[in-house]
Amino acid sequence: MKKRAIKIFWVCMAVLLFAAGLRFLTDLLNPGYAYTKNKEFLEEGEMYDILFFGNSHMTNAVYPMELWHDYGIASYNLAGYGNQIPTTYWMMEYALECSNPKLIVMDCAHLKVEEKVQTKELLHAQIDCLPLNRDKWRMLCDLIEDPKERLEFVWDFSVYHDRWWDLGQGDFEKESNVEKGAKIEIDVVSPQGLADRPAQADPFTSTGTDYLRRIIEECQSRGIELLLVYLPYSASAQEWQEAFCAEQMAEEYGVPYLNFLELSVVDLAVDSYDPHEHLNGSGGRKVTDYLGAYIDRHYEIADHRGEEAYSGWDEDYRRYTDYKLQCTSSLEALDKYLMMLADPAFDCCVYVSGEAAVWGRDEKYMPLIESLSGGKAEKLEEAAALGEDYFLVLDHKSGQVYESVGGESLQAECSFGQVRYEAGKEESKALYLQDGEENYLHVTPQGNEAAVQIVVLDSEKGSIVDVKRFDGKLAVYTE
Amino acid sequence: MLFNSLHFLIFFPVVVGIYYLIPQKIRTYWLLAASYYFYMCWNAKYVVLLLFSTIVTYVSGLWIERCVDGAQEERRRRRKKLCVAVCFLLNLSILFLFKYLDFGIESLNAVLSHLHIALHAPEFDLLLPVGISFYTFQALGYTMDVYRGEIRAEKNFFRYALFVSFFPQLVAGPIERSKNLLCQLDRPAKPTPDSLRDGCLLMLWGYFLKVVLADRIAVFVDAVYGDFETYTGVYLIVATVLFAVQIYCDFSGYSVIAMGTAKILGIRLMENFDAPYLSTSVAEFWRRWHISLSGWFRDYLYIPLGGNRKGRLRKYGNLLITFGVSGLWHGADWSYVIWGLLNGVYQIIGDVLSPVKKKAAAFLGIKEDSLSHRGIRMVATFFLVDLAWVFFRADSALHALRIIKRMFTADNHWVWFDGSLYQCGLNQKNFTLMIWGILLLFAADICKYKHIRIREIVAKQDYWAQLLTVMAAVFGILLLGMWGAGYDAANFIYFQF
Repeated sequence: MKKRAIKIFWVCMAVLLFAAGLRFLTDLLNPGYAYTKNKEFLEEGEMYDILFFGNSHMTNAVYPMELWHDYGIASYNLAGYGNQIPTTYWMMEYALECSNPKLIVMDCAHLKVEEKVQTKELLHAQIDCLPLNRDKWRMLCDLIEDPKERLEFVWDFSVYHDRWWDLGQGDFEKESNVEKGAKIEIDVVSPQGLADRPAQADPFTSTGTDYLRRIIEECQSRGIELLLVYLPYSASAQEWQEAFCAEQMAEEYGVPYLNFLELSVVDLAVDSYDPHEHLNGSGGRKVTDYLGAYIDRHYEIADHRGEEAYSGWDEDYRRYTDYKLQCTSSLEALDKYLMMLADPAFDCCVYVSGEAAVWGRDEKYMPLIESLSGGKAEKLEEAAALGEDYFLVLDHKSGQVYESVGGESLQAECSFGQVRYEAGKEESKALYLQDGEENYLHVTPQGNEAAVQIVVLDSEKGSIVDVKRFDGKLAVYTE
Repeated sequence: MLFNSLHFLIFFPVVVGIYYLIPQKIRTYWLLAASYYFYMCWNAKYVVLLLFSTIVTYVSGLWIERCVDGAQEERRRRRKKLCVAVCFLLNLSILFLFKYLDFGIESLNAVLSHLHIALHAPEFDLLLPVGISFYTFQALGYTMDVYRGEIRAEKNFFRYALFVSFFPQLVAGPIERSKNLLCQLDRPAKPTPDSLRDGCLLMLWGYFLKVVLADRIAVFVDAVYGDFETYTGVYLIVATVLFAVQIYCDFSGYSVIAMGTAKILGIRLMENFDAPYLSTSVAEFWRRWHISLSGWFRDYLYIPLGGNRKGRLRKYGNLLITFGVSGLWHGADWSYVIWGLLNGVYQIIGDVLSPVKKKAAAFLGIKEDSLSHRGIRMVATFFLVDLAWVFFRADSALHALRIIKRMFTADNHWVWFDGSLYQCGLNQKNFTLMIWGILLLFAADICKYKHIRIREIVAKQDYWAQLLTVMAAVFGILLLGMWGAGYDAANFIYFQF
């Protein structure tokens, strides 16, 4: 009897050990795209008043933490890479079971696509994090035709088990997404260009339109406000038709609609991350600002700042700005750096040497500096034309921009403290900040200087957070 | 249904669970039902062939035995022979129809075309029934055993049907002898915790061989052999050596899983592989490789042909016939026949040179039992066997010859050192894992060679140690095995956006 009890004990131990081991390995081996992206939402879905849905366009275009900072809006970006409208519909269905949003913002890109799923891998990235329940099973039954293929979504260990060779630190220390589901992309690429607006709409129906109807009807039946958008990118003539079709459907159902292809919110020349598809951080901030203002004007969404239940969000925002600063300060390309500085979280002083090749080398640098100043830099072209030194101070809190060209010195009282720029020849050039004695302009006794020198300040705290210098070839300057 | 499919991993526990719960007298029927379901999962229609073969051999067994009981001596012998002949003819006709007809027609067309005769026989492109070579040979083996009076004909049709269709060894062997399996099915041994543990350990080892080693090696071999015109020298040598390991792991892995599943059901199947690559001659290799098939050919073809009893020349002829047929059994293509014949030729040359080798060893003062001498013989045997494997793996005999030529006519030894080998489907970590796996296999084979039974060593340990061993094996296979949808980092490249 005792022997039998011992055997039963060890069998139970084996089962427990197996279950625990499998759970550990499943969590470890999952690459974590979806876990990190949507983990916070799944843990505290009830907190969010606005949910953003769509594909990568939306992921890269709307930053919930900025909405929190500017309006106290609690929102989450649940868009997923490569999501087609049917996938988005099911993501929304799933999300609505664990949240109670006041507003849903839905991107209508890929409306003409017939396929329900772009690739299995992309679907994995989106839904692996969702615990298996009746909704997920319904989602799989609708999106995946082959019953055998559904199994790999039910038990994703079958996909990721042979990822052992790919494991890295990030797999052992999975951190939640500090951007509340969004993703700031860091690059500046010349886009293909937006196709001309077609003269007339060419109506169509597709799997995408069928599911968009289901989305609208579902929101209306639940009493949730819906805002349809078509986000900006270098859309083709066919994609313009998608935007028109979404507009027609919005009118049909009486749903508000924003077609960003027709709104001059972004400048694709400086706001594109890749030639055809996505917005970079600068573009995303512009869309977020626009949407934030629009939502503030048209919807009654609570400002949760200062509320006890949302006390953690300020800490989340701090982590978010730290993350942005970390991303920015690690950059070694001037264009990306300038793009990331076009952010109200950062004030900056930018010095450009008159002899620098910045002006003539590449057309993109001037628009980037203009974009950085919010279009307020007026002396830029003059400096470029004369080949003179250029100095710019950007103070977001006061909304002021200060400029100097050539031998013109500059002194300004900014919200982060005093700025004293002494123009002159060679080693007599100097930049002093906040009444300090340190000269932030790097000029050697021989008169050598970095072509572009930038001092970055935290616009909230007023502290200097980064200093970066670039040489004449626009590589990071080393003495 | 494959052993490494999810379907089987659900099917088998259900079969075992019910098998343990039901009374012993109906277990045969339960296993028969499970076996037919197992086969029909692949193609339900082809179960007719299995049933046909079962009925023909069952009836012939009864008839052969009836001849023994009643008729006069001479008539009796003739009737028995007729029975066996009809039984073989019917079974081999089915085998020929599905496996060799197209090959025969293709070969005929090639000959006619060579002779400039404008006659083109149509090909039928029939789907080859899974396991037909295995169950046909097992059933014919039974017929021969009854004919020789080595066993009594089975009266219970269902038990006999289970003997032919027993699912663990139905589609890939071992080709069991009626003397071993049929009597066990008559009264299956009661499964014990020991047989359960032993069976589980066997299955785990089999899965390791199949999904961790064989399927991993296959990635490299397929990459190189699939595009052999772009690879030369070291690449082809490494791929060929690895193929020898792959086919061993694949085949023996399947056999070991079959043994394990049968053991869990309380049935002991024969060992099919016994450390074959530690053989010191090709003849020994064939005593250790696919033992059930080699034994079948020995008992039912080589010996009836006269074996080695009718002079040296006849012996060599019999060897060539046996190995030629063995090659054909493995596949309907001339490259398989050449592979079989090559193995026969090796043994003939070995036999002819045996006295010379012995004299040379004595002259040079080499001790034949020394480790170094045995090691060299093992390497030489592996080289010969592996060279023959090229014909087995290549798409055709012509391709095999070109591969062998490219193997030895290119000089690219730097490939060993510059990481190029990691560009053939397996990255460095996977390649390293494969090497460690092969070393583990080698160590296990040495233990087997020296009659050290690893399973018994595990069984003697405390429960916690057994538990840890099993868990390590399970997670090792789950983690490192090539199964499931698989993760291809390249497919996830989009995530960078």
